[in-house]
Amino acid sequence: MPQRDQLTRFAAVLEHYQGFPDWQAEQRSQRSTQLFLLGERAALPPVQVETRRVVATSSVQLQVFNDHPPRNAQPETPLARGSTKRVLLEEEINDPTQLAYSLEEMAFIAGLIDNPSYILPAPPANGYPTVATSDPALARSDKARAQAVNEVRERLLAAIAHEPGITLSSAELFATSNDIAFRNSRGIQASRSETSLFCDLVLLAHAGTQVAEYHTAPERRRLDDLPIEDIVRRAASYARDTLRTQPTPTHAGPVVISGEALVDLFSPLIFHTSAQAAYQGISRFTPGASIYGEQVVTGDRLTLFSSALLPYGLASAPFDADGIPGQRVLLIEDGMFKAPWAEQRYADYLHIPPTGSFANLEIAPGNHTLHDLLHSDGPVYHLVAFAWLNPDDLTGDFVAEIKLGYRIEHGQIIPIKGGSLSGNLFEALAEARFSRETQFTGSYLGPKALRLESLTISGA
Amino acid sequence: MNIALETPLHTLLAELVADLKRHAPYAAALLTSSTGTHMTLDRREQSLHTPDPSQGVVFTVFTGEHFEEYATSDLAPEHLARAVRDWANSLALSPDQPAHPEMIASNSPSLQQFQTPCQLPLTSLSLPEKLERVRAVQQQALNFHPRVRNVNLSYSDQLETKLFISPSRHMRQELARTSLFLDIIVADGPIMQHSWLSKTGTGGLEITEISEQELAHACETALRLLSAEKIEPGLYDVVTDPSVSGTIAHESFGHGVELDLFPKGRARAADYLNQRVAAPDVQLYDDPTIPGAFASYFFDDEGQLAAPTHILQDGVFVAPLSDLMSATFTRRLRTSNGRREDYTRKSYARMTNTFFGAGASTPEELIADLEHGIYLRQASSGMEDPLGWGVQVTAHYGEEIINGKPTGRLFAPVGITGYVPDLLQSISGIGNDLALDGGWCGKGQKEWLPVSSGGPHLRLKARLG
Repeated sequence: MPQRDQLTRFAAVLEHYQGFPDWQAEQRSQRSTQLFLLGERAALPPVQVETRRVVATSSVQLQVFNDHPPRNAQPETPLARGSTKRVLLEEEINDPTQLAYSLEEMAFIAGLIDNPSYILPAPPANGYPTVATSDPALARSDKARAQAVNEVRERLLAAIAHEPGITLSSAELFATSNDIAFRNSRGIQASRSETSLFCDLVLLAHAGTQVAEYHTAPERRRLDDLPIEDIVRRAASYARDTLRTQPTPTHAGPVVISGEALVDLFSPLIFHTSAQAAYQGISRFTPGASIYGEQVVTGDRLTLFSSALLPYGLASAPFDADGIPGQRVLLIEDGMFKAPWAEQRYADYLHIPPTGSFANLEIAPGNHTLHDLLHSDGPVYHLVAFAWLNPDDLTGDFVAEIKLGYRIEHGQIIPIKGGSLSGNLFEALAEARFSRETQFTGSYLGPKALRLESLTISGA
Repeated sequence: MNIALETPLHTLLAELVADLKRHAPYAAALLTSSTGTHMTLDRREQSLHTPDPSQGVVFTVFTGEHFEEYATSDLAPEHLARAVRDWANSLALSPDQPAHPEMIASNSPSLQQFQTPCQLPLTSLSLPEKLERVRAVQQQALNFHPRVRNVNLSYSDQLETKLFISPSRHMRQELARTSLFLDIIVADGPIMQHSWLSKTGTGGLEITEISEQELAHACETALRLLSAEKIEPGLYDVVTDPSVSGTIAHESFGHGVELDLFPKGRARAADYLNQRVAAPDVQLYDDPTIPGAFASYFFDDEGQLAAPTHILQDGVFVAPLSDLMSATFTRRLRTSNGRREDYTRKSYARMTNTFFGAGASTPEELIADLEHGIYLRQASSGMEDPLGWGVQVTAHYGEEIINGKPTGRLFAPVGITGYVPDLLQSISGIGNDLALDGGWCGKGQKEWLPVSSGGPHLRLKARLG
């Protein structure tokens, strides 16, 4: 059954159901073509294809709400709102007796939860924005996705063949298409389609008996945004550099982080700019106040957006999980926290406009060239790959092993590896300088590099 | 949904697998589904959901050269039969191609059934009773001290059913997996810190019982961390608690010996089989049969009956962890480590419960031996580097020890980095305790699975920062 027809029929049942005041339902249908490649070092030559997979799934997730007096409440206390959600199996939806039982059970479970009330969104007055999220070359059919995957494979192998001393270790290529339909009890009916192309790639560099690897896993919404040849060129260069690294010395001072490695560093900013963190009383930011607190700011003042409207962004969408229209929201401007991003629930709790879920991260570029950022009187460390840069969202603290970087001093560039970079994002931002050059990594658009003046490297 | 035995769907799956096997050297199917409860609480809101049941099936065939898979959530018999036959017709299959010996080895064609034993079955409490239980734990933590700003609590229980069918194996298992996690957030003015307490395992509600002492320790730790300092980078004598020991095990000779990395040229361990890589007393195991451990099961997602693997024996690397693909392409022994995130994902060689074996010293003796060192506690994350043999492990905090006594100074967070053989060769003391911590593990940064890691307290030298 076409998914929208199924959701329409299901919604008709829900609209006549008296057991809960509100509901929202999302149907998601996915088709994915996947190819797993093994490189030349496999024990059974010549193995190139390890596995081919076709995945076809469809699911309906229902969230129901229940308004009721809260537990242990005084008279006159406002009603609490509880909710619960779960995926309904196709046989439940198609069997009226089973469905009635499931809906009754969900209404009961929602009745156990005492949250402050909030109102589901109604259809937006101006409709939903148009956002490019789907590549026709990936959306059309299983055959089209197989062709796209084969094209990427051919380009990948051709690009690797041009790289001296480089071989393929493994690659995983996924072409995926999703159709999403959304309905709620306030009358929203919306749908969107999205596609993605994912390439998990490991290259090996060889020099005599020495071998080193570089792993990258780019994902984009469309084939045209996945520059295979550039990705291979950069990965090959990093793999070769890894072969000739020296142990990282201990260092306290300027560090430049660039490329994909940079993006994970910003996750505490997403957490602390959320209405949920504000509602829970654990956000360190106050609307209208500086994000730097009492610190003296010597770097570039940060400007940051959440954007659901970035063309072909992985987190772009015309509507979020509650049906809130996608927006580009200014969260931090020149270091001042403007207002939190807010899902419908927390917007109601804090009496602020809903912005929808956090989408793609956009950061305004700086005025410095990458070349300028890498210049220093003393040594500067340019770090391009970590084992896992995973800051603590609450505190902003981070410690990450350096997988590849460069020590730059007096015009000499020496590849380094090992040791760890540590610091605190909120302290470091006051001295941060952003590059003029920008990068798009799927769900991030912003500076390609960031210089932090006072970080600590524990040597290898 | 509970997958019943000998249902029309079961019969259909067996027929489809038999049909595929007539055209290929190997064919199998894995049918999965789950039910459960997931609750979250913080100071101001709550949630109670049923996790995604992930009901679906994946069919696997080996063509003689590579694997082909078809995964679907559509279990309507007529749809499933048509889709699988259409898919099979699109493949170039021949039954005459060679199969790996493991593919044709016969276990038992009759159905084998397994079930996680539970002292307190997941259904022994109603949903309202479970909710009241966790609310009481959360309230106790919130009331512990005025500086406790919030307590995020997450509880989940899951009953997962897996049915594996190949021409030679019919197996069904029901796995009950339960967890409770509390993150205690404290604040002193603008300074915030946190600490956590987790209980995880396969089994029933007994797993999530928390003593007052455990809760008090977690709250006190969070409060003490408000005055934690940054550690001076350098090489230290350290003692690791079981969570940190386990993360070292997991990231060093856990990921590093997953056999699917060998044909990819991504594992330096491939060149060190039967060679010493750790101090002579070091034992390292992966064991999915440990009763109650978070990653335990009865057979893996490729129908291999669970069995322990002794990875490091007296400091010597003796056995990798394999799945069907890696055992096929390397012609090595298959272990019971073929695991999928769910039926829509591919199987890889993955760890289960990975841990160092216990030694003879008490943890107190190991700490008393530190002249000037750090007691590393509460592992928060780790990352592998199987080819470069680097290692990254982050401890949430470390306690300064001088002349065998804690000085009261805390450092947070503390990162361990280094070269795997240096780290493992530096182990100079092994505790007689053994504990496993459950958590989630990715391959790279995807394919998330429940795992546990642990071991005893260890004394070693480590580069901290």
